[in-house]
Amino acid sequence: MPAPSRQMALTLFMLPFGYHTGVWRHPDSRPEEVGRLSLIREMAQAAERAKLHACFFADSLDVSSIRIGGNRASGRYDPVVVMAALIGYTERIGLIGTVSTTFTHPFNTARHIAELDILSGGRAGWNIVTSVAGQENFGMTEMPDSAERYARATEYVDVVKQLWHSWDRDAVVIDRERGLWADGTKIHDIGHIGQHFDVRGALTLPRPPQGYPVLVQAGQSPDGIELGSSIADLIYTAQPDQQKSVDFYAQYKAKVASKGRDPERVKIIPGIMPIVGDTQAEADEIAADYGRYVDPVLGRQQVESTLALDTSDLDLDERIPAERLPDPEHATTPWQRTIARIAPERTIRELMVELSRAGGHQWMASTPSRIADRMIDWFESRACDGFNLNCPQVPIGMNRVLEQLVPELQERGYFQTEYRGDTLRERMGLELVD
Amino acid sequence: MANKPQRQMALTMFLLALGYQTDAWRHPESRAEEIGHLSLTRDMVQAAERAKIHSVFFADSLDATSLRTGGNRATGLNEPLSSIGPMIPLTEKIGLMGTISTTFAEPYNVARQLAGLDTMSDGRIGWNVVTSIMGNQNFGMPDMPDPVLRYRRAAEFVEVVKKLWGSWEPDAVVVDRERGWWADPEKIHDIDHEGEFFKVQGPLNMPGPKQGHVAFVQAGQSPEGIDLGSSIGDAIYTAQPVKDRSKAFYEDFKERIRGKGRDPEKVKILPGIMPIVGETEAEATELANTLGELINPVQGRRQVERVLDVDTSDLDLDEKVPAERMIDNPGRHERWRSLYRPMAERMTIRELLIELSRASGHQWIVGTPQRIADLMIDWFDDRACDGFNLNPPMVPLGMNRMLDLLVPELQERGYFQTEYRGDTLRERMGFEIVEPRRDRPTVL
Repeated sequence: MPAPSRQMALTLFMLPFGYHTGVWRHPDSRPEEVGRLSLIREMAQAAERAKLHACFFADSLDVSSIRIGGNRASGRYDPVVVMAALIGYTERIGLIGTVSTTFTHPFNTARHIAELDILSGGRAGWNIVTSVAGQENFGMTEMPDSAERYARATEYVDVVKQLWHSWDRDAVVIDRERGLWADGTKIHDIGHIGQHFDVRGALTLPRPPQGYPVLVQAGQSPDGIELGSSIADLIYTAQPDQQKSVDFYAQYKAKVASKGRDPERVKIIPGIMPIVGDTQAEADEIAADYGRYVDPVLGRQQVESTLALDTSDLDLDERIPAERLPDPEHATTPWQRTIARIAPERTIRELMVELSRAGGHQWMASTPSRIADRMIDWFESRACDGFNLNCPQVPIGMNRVLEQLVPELQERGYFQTEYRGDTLRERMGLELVD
Repeated sequence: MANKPQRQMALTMFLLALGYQTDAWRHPESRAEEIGHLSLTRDMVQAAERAKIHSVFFADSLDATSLRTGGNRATGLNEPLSSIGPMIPLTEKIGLMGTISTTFAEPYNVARQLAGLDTMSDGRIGWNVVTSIMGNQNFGMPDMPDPVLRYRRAAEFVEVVKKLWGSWEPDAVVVDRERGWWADPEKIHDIDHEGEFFKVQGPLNMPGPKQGHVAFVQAGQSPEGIDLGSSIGDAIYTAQPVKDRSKAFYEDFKERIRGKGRDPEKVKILPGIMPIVGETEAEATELANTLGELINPVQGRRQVERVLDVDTSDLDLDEKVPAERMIDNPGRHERWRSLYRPMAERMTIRELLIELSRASGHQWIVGTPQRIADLMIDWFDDRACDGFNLNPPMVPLGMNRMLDLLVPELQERGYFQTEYRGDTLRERMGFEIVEPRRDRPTVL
């Protein structure tokens, strides 16, 4: 069989609670270690052994899910400091983290990400987000609307990129004779004056090894797509349906090309939650086992909020009467549409497990070989350039993904068996920045 | 040998890879190519840990001016939050202190970042609470706020951070698999802070630091800085080149601490010192002379001008700065008044540039380990200090002599620890113990 002409990009979603809602209650889970280094270190090191391109830390400033007992939430690690700590435990794997543009200042963020890139030897990535909650902790009474948030984000990224290039590549001259460590003529003001920020510069740090650390974007709104197609290297997206993902991919790549960028160097990476078993029966059994940890009260609430309806008069093993369900064609979100489509065939309990599994992403419970079949099918049909791996449970569910599924992809030639290149940009085949 | 000393010194090391003496990086044995990189930072911190130094200290600057103008003792090349992280797995016990400005950051973000680092490091983090004196041009501010306003903001900033750390009760994380509660919501509280500068509802989105509060470092010598430091500081950095003045400062500061109901023995006053060490006096002098010859007079003059905030372009290096050029104004840093102006009154520009290149307001000494230890012990026994922040004159040679010759001398005489004792930075340095994740210090 000929070698595939391209290989997947794979990243690991760093969620030590496990991606599957409630699965932290599993006796094999290690929720006692969430917030500490022990478990998160093991996750990063396991991902590096599997040659994954990067670890990805999402973030959330929201505590309300913790306060109602819902624990798939990100936010128990500040991405900047946990990525910093992991630099000392890993050698090649990329470290991508979310930093909100809504509640921080670009000068501080430019320094944090540049420093991570310098100390890690070019392994840092920044997931650019606009926050949808958290204003109460930053002296704001309400959140700015989406357009305003993205206008700020766009200018913010522009400022950060200018700051990263405020030192010429050869500004650090280390000229002992003349007494110049850095050549001041090669360090420049950026003189940025904009709608949201006035920043003169220069940065206090030399240009990061990657030029620009890797830029990641995940917004699926028109504003998010506009920003991502303009500047992002990696696009995270929730795509449970293959054909829809093919369409999204084609449109997105066309948009990238229309901006004069090389679409092959921008990677579109949907999430997937693989529940891996040695046999189909074992995978089904594991999936059923995980499903039992979903809290029925919270699970029902999640079904109700997703579909925007009341089920308080129904038993968990009943189906929701058809007349209460929203019309999929008039759904308010793609995710609501997906769930509304399957709702007539499922009980409330089944729906709640479905929601707990995927959170808008696809999931699959099967053998390594059959999950690899599906991933390769998506990849070959240009539904994606790779995947963000959402591990259902940590550490066992994660280890099955990394030690059984990833090797299957490697054996078939669809995933790297060694890291190639010196920086995350090189290793992922992204645009190289001088 | 004399009796065993009753107390032991606290020692921290200033992590300045360029070397503390200006232009020391030009020394042929410096590792100037690695400045800012992981390799050199790691080697410095590991060397300090081998010497049982209590903590390393990352200073910071948000302004690139001195880097651009060849002011080569510049900080800012190691952003502290990102630089401390990788040191956690590369070391085991040494404290990791870093500067974060309260002028240009948000307390919610800083509270999270410090709590995370402290938890991940098993309680080894310290925060040098500063108000910035420059950098406004990078944060959309036409001018720097005056010191009074900056310190009011700093005090409220720290208050908010402490409240956020206390927003999770110590036993809030219950990990109750049966009932499905990872954290008990009854033990997570809003803080509802509304103040002059910040409105923060809380709670934090993670538990507070392992130490309850990370150790607080404070270095301001203005009345506002002293007020903040005596209220919250666990370690006080100070520039004290003269022993009698340091004693007076020490006594006054400890009295203020007592006045605030705190235990003065648990707050450590740590002046900086730059020891240029040799196994013999001749070897020490040789290193001092070599480093002195590396100072660039053009850059040195510029540093004098920057520190004094005067123009000297019409003056010869061997002249003094005329007194009428040293004009005070409310924006001046306290050090300008208490240290730099008096220095300018008695030294020529050349003397100033060498002095500033060596010590920048701190004391420096050239000598054998025995003689430098004598001086340090004399200060310590006379209550001019509780220990020192060690400024390595150059890296690695000057630093290594300091750690490998001077520190063992102090250890042999019983004035410095030969092993780390305690489980957290607060315990190891003898600071107040804060009940984890509560806002009330409990002195054990």
